[in-house]
Amino acid sequence: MGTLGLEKKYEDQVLKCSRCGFCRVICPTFEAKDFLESYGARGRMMQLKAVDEGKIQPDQSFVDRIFTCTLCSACEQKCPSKVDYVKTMEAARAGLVKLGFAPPDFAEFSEMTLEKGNVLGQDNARRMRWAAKLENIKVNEPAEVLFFVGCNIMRPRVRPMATATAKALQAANVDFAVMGEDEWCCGLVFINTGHLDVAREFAKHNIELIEKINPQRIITICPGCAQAIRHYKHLTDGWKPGIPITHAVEYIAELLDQGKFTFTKEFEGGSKIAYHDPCELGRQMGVFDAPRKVLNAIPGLEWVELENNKALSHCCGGGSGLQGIDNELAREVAHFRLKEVQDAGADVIVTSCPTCRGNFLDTIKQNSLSIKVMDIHEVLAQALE
Amino acid sequence: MIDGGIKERIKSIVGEKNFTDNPFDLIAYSADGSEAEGMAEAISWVITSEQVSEIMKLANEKRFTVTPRGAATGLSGGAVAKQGLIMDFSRMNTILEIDQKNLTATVEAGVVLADLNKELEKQGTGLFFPPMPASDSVAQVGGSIAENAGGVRAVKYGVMRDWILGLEIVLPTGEIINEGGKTRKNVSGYDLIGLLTGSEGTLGIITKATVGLTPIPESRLSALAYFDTPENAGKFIFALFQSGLDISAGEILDRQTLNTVAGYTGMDFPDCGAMILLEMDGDMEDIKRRLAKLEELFKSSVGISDYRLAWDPVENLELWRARKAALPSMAQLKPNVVIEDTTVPLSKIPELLKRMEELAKQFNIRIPCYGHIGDGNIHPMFLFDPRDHDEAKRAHDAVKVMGDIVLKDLQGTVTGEHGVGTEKKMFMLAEHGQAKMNLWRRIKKAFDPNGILNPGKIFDYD
Repeated sequence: MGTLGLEKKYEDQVLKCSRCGFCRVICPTFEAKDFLESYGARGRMMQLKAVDEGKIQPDQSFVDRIFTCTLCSACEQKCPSKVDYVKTMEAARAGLVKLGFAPPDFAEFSEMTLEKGNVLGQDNARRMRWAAKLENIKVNEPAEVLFFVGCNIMRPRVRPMATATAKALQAANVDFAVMGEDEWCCGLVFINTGHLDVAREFAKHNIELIEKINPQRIITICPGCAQAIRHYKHLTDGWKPGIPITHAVEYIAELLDQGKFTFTKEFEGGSKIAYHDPCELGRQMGVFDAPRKVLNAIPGLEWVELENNKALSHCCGGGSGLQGIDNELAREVAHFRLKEVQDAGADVIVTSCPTCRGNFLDTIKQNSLSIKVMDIHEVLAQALE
Repeated sequence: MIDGGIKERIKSIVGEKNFTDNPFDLIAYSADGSEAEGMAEAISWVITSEQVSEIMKLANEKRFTVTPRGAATGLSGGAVAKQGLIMDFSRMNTILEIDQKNLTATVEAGVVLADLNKELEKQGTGLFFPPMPASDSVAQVGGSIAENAGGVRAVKYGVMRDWILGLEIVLPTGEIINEGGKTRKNVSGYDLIGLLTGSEGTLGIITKATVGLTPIPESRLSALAYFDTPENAGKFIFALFQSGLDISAGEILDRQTLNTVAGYTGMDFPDCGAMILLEMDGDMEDIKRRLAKLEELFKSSVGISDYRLAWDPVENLELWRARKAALPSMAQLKPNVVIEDTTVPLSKIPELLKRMEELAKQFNIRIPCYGHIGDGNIHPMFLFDPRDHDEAKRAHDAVKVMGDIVLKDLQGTVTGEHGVGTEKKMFMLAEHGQAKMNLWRRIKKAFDPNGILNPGKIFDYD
């Protein structure tokens, strides 16, 4: 075992990287750093290898190169050796954290999130503001479906997404509950950045509530939350919920298929919409059809595919907490994706992830672009009004 | 040695943003796709030919070495520096002109091969640039010319050299020269394009290129056949060429490769000694006529246990599945592989495959072989785990014996398209002899009197 304490299965992955460079074509941070290899997948693997073998001691510049990867996993699509890159990177980050290396200010961020229960450092009571105008929302009561809302809901601009999801569930007569003010951060950013002890605290808390609700299914509006809850089994002593944990859009697509509800309101058109596959929902959870099915079901809505779509979709730049670590880089990555939207002749980008949405929105504002960004749940909200 | 003063002068040429000497950046630039490794002292990105020229003048004045680098997808260590400055062309990547009347494109060295073809498609030219090494999605024009890259379609379209009409070259001493242009013929003076193409960045730095283009074929369809022995597969290839059937790719996967692919993908292959995959391009009607003729040839050939023909593009993709899975499947068996690049006369292919099987047994390692049977360029893959020192040694010892077999017994070369770099230097004397290597040294000296450009590649200069 080397400096980073990588298990053999991850050491194998580091060795498997043949350094062919095929990942250069798709790595978002490599592109955003203007082709600097140490910010690309191949270069990062080479640095990990050198540090793990003790050839060089880690320092803060190494931390920056390793923690600025968005874990978008696009490189895995291009890798002829099929290196399990994301898992290896997470393991290496966990090793670095144990050695006392982390992005600047991360300790304070962890502490704040643990204290407040959410990554925004706000009063957790604000979690339920989205439901202010809704009736009969069950909170921490047994239900068929648990709707895990996520920290992003604290942002006023994200509230309509949860409202629309709840309305769709109500329209389909689904028995669902939320965790309300007791819901804590899903912990994904801590899993991604190797802060597993912190992530474990969130997992334990949320699992207790999940067991109380005892759902047959968990849905989320953020693909990252679904990914994190799926990961809880690795953080705890083998917690096995034995139920589907999916993004809400998958569930809504199923409800549409079952004829549980339909859209009748014509979409307020005039715009050319492009759909962006979030990395976690698409490449990592394999959900490509459901959001397309939902978009296709809305009367009057026309949309186009971006040049790089589905498994080869380009990252929004917001993955793995990059906005908190290097916001400028996160926006640079987003800018490349937004150029694709312009090339497609679209003026609205629809995504299924509040993180993508937020990073796109910030980048659009910063660069004064004439593009509107919407989450698919906002599109739902319009269609359900 | 690049000291602080030199670093400041390089920065003054390329700008602060185009320079780094961060040790972690140097690590990320310490290898290519081969086993070669080495640490440079600094990296600079160049944007203009004038910057390249200024740096070379400085390098001559201060006697530091310069290693040009494209995407470093090479498989022989050509872009790996053990000292000095790495000059990265990734930011010098403008397509300068697409000239449809003359069927040419003029590009900067850092343009990615696939990006040129994408742009040709985007502009609706109906043209393409045919040389297509497996790395074409990332490999750059400059590096591909310097390595004289080939690829699966070389059997029909040739290699990089066949498509280069003009070059802008920065000499190691800093002068910028232009060779050739847009004409299809040019015998005026020494053929410097021929000399520079495949010189692996040791004689001059390619900064711009004018390349030839050709119309995109309407369609591509393929056929595959399973042979009882590699010998019969080899015999079939002679019959194929004699029949006059024009192929755009001819690939072979030996039994070990098929077993590896089967283990990785779950694909089923009949019990056989080798599989051959043939592709034809052109207009659909003509391809189908040729496919039918190929089927007749399959039926009349010895040793074919089964064959398949793709009559539409969907089936065509399916036939290429095994070939595309060859490299990924090997990575699942062992973490490391030495990818060799043997090229032998067509008549020697069966013997090469047989000898590689024997070599694998002799050294108790796996050496699956696949490659371009259409031009005799076979890639034996020497698999090993670097943590198993004994296995690693056996693999490398076997590579040396492979060199003897190819050069002495099969009248071949150790590299058909990957280049010599540092990884195949050990074979050069045996392949070329002392007199020729002395000539190489005089040529190198004439171009690069101070030996500062990409030293240690192809052969040792002293």
